[in-house]
Amino acid sequence: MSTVLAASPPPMSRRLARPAKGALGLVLFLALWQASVPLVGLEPYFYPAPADVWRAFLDLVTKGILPVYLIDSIGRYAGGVAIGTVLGIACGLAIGISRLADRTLSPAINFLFAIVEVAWIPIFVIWFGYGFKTILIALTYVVFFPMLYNTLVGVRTVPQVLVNAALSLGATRLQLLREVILPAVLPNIITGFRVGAGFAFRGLIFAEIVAAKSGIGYLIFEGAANHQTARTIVGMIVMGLLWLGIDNLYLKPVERMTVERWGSVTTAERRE
Amino acid sequence: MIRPLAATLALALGYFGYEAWLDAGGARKLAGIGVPAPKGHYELRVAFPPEGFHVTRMQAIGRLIEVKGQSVFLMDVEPQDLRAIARNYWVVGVARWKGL
Amino acid sequence: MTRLARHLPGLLPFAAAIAFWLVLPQAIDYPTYMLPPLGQVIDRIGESVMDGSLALHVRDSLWRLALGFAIGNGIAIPLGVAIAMNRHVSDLLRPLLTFLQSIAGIAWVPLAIIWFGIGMGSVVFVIANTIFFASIHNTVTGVQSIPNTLHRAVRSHGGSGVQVLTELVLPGALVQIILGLRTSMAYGWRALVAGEMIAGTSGLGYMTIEAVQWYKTETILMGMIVIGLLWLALDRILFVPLENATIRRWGMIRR
Repeated sequence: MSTVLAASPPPMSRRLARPAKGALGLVLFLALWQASVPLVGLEPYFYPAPADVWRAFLDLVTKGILPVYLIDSIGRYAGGVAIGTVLGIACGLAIGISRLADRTLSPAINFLFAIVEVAWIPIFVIWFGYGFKTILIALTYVVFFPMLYNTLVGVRTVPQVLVNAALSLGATRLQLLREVILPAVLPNIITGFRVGAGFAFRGLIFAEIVAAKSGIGYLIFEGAANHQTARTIVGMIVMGLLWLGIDNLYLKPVERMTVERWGSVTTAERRE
Repeated sequence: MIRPLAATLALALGYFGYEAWLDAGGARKLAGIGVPAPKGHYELRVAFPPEGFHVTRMQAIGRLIEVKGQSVFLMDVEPQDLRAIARNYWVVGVARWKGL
Repeated sequence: MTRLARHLPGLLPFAAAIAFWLVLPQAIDYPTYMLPPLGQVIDRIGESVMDGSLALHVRDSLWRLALGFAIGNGIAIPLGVAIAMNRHVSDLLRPLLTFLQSIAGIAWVPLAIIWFGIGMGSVVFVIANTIFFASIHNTVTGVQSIPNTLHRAVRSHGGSGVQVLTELVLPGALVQIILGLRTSMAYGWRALVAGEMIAGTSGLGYMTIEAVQWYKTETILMGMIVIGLLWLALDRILFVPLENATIRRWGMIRR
């Protein structure tokens, strides 16, 4: 099929056509979904139709449920990401600057990181109970580790030449940090932020399913538990839209900013 | 950098605007109540048969005596809790109730 | 001697943690379920190994992971290659796949429970779902990153469609696909633990969260340790050698 493109269309129309094709893809998907419902012939709680989902969405909004859940989820997410990012960067810089601290703490950090964040939820529930506090702590933890890890890696790979040059010019520790290390580490921090934000989003939904009484994750769970599967699907779609917003409004612009200013960033896919 | 800042600004404005709208609605619904008693009894009317979500929140602020159709009867509600629950846009009316 | 000295600082935090753990119950009074004494945790590990319950959970978890990994990648990689070969199809499906990837995994657990009930079916479905979307994204990106000029070069040398596939696309995308295997495994592992916690009837995740109800914190800690060690083992034993044998040897990894 690629040979059909031998007479390539002008770039401008190609750029306009692509989002249109994507939208068409979504429309086709919805159409196929709606059409398959009578064919599958199962009850709505097993296989809801897009129409059912839309109705459930309106229902959730008019009854005031969705706004509350949405605000709760966003609040938890923003709080956890903010705290985790600051702590992660601070600790990453503090540990990374000292070679000894790095060598001492890295194996322990790697071990703790290997215990995936979802595995910490049970002990957090034991320590902090259910509810907002626990979820905030869990999200902070989830963001902290990728931030710490990536910042550390960044500090480690600052070219020694630059550090020596700055020191030989009489830079204090603080100046060294601000003028040399911080700019060099920034791409890694951005990567860590992107990874952490992604993990935190999935962690949010998981924590809300397990340890909360409100929120989008809870909505997804509650809908299924009450056999109101259309509500579950509303929750899943809202979750996807939420991530779309986070990724396009915050994560991608920040990443692009770093690429423009400092010219290099490794994409999140390469760092777990 | 402009997109994150604009997004945050829009979100903040939206959020505070929403909360202000809720406050205004609450004040309107409570206008006919007068001065609420320290432990008042009220009938809350909602626009639909209340679900667990709503019942839980109402139970948190007072003693839930009965749910009749689209009305919920509560006793021993404190003024600030009354204001909090009346803010919700799914509450369409608040009336004093003589209780049991 | 110097080798030991190099590794010594790394052991310090572990030694300190163990010391702290041993001293704490003596020093402060607190409910045992918050942090059971080290001895109790070790006993729990011992008894789980002895009566085989730990081995059972590990086996169930690994089996589900393997199944989900095989199904997820087995469908995603061929499908991804097929989609990526045609510009129109990939343009059509890309936004849909991106959207679905953002909700892949955990968000499907409640739906999976409705469809498959609690147990293995749901957990494997969630793992496969997670891995599928992670992998297809990687595969499509990998195939599409092959420069068009190479496509035309193969064609101009008289290469048929099949040859384009086997000689150009597959080797060209292989690096991305192999990297994708590692990433998808990481996501899949998380999906496994999380899925077992919500919808499992056995396995490490199930074992860990079930202990919360009974305040059996020593089981929780045991679960966490095993989960951590198991992931380290999986990652280091499976993927590092794989990458060394393939990507590193071909000189294509940037680390």
